[in-house]
Amino acid sequence: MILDTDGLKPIYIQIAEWLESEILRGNFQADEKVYSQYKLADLYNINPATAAKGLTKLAEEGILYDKRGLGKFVSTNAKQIIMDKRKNQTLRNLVEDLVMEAGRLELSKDETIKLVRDAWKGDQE
Amino acid sequence: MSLIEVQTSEIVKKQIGYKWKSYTGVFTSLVVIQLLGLLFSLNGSGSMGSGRTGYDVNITYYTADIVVGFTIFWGFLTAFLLTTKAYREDDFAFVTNRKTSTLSTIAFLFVLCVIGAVTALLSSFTLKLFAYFILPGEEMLLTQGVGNGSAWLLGMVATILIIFLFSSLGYLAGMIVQLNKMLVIILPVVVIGLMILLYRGGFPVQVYFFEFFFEESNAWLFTLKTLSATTIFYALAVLVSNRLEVKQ
Amino acid sequence: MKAIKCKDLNKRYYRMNALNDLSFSIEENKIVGVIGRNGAGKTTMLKIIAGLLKEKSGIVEVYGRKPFNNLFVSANTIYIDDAMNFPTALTLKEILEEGKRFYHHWDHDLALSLFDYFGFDSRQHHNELSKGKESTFNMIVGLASRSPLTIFDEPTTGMDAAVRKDFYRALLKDYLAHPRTILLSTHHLEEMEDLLEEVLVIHEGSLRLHMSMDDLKEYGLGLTGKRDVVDSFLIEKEILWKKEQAFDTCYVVVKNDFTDHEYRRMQEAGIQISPVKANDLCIYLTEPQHGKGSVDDVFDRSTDV
Repeated sequence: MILDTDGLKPIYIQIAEWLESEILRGNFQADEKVYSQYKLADLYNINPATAAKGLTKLAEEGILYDKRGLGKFVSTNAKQIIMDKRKNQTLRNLVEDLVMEAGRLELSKDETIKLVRDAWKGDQE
Repeated sequence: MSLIEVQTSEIVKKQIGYKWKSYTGVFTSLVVIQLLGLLFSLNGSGSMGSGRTGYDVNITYYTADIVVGFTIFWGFLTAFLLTTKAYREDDFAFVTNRKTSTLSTIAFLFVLCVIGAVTALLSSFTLKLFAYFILPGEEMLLTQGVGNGSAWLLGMVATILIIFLFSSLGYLAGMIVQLNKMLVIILPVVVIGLMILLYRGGFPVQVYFFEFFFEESNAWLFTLKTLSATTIFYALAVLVSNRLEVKQ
Repeated sequence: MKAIKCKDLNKRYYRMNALNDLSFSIEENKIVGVIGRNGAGKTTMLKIIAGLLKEKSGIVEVYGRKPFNNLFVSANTIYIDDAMNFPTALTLKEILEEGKRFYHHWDHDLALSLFDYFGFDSRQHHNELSKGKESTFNMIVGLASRSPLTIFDEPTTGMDAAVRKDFYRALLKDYLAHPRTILLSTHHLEEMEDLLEEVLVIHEGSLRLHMSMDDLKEYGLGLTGKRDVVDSFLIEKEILWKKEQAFDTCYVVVKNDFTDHEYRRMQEAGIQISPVKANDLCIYLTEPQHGKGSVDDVFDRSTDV
């Protein structure tokens, strides 16, 4: 991953999302230790406090858990949490943006849904 | 990183070493000024002659007096220069405070004064050698033999103390000038003006100054006088320097 | 223990206030950026912290001690700027040797490796270096000293982009291995913002902001839209900057304390919402107060005549 330093998304969120993606890809297994804030800082050339903020966010969401003095580890149900979260939040936000943009372009509800359906078909083929 | 407690003595020692390596310019100036002194001395530092019909006697003294005089002046000037901003800021490139900076400079100046005094006095031998080779037709009379070691040593100590005394004057003058650039002009005008005024008023302060120090025949009293005067001048300089900030 | 503590710090220069009741404190082992315009008082503040200048009034403490003329603070602090004075008689290698003698935590291997990496010649003298090379050498001294408090005042002056990048990387690497308090003043915030944990924004001798870098990035919000529409959302908001644009639209930078609800409503009203880069935000925050406006006003005035 290359950090998008100009974008809307704060660095620590990008770090958290990267870790989530790696967990989904299976590069971090359940009960495996994830990178420390220092390792992440070195990897992405960022302040370790920023990296720590990303890790804390994941811990608060139950994706990671703390072992005192040992670091952060992947929860057993981490994958499930990440998928649910992405469905409920990320996807929902994307859809809301889509609806809003469609409104600005004066697209009807049916036309918008058709667009989604078409995109879905195109993907399937 | 763990915090470090340092001792003043440790830093002073390090600063002396640092100055020894950094201020090589002062050694160059010492060599130059003593060579210049030697050159002037070749004319002889004093002579007398008498003549009768048939023969003339002409005695010329070849001593290191001029070289010593020049070295005293060099001591004053070097101390003066070490107070300038460039030198003071060199100190603050590394660990220091005002106290260690001043103490190490004074210690360094003392070492310089010893070197200056030794080379100045040794130059009298050089001079006699010169005189021997350059003036081959003349008769050499080596007075107050080389053998009189204790007298020579006493002369050496006295020379060191005098150069050190003048370095303290230079250091004080330099520090005062650092307070305000205008003082470069004002200070000498005031000092010389005062001397002239007092001289006219029947109080020739410079004469008293020389009498006080140089006509003292007791070696211990002489040491005491010069060292206390030196201490006072350096102490005054430290007081002045405490008003100076490092980087402006 | 706090690394640095300032309370009501004041400093005057030639009858001008250089620092005005500056109060803040910095925890140990953080990298803190010091941001401000030229003449804002950054250098004065950093020099007071390093013990090189004396404060006029107020409290300043470094590791609990007054820094001015303090040997303990000097032994635990290094101040690096672009006007470092090293003795002209010493070669660059000899200067590094001296650094090793004076600083207890000095890492000579690191100093020599960086020295070679940046292509210095050991026989060179400091006063013979170009501006960029000089800054690079000073940076090596600052990093190798491993001082518990390391202060870099405009360390990248004259460095080319590649060297600056190397410097930021070296700084982070060494900090990760040996955490310490690092103060960095800079004009290149956008280049090093990811390195910083906190920022101090200094404006006209006073503290404008002191917060974490992550918070600073989210501190402002840029709104673009029709002027009256945008204005309707700005009631009781702190406007940081405003610029009129074509077709009755405007761009407003406003302090970001919008609720999700307000956020949605603004989007629905057709307002474009954009993040404000930390660097731009700092420029807006340090706009001169007394009606000088932007540089545009200078030209507007002259066309009026």
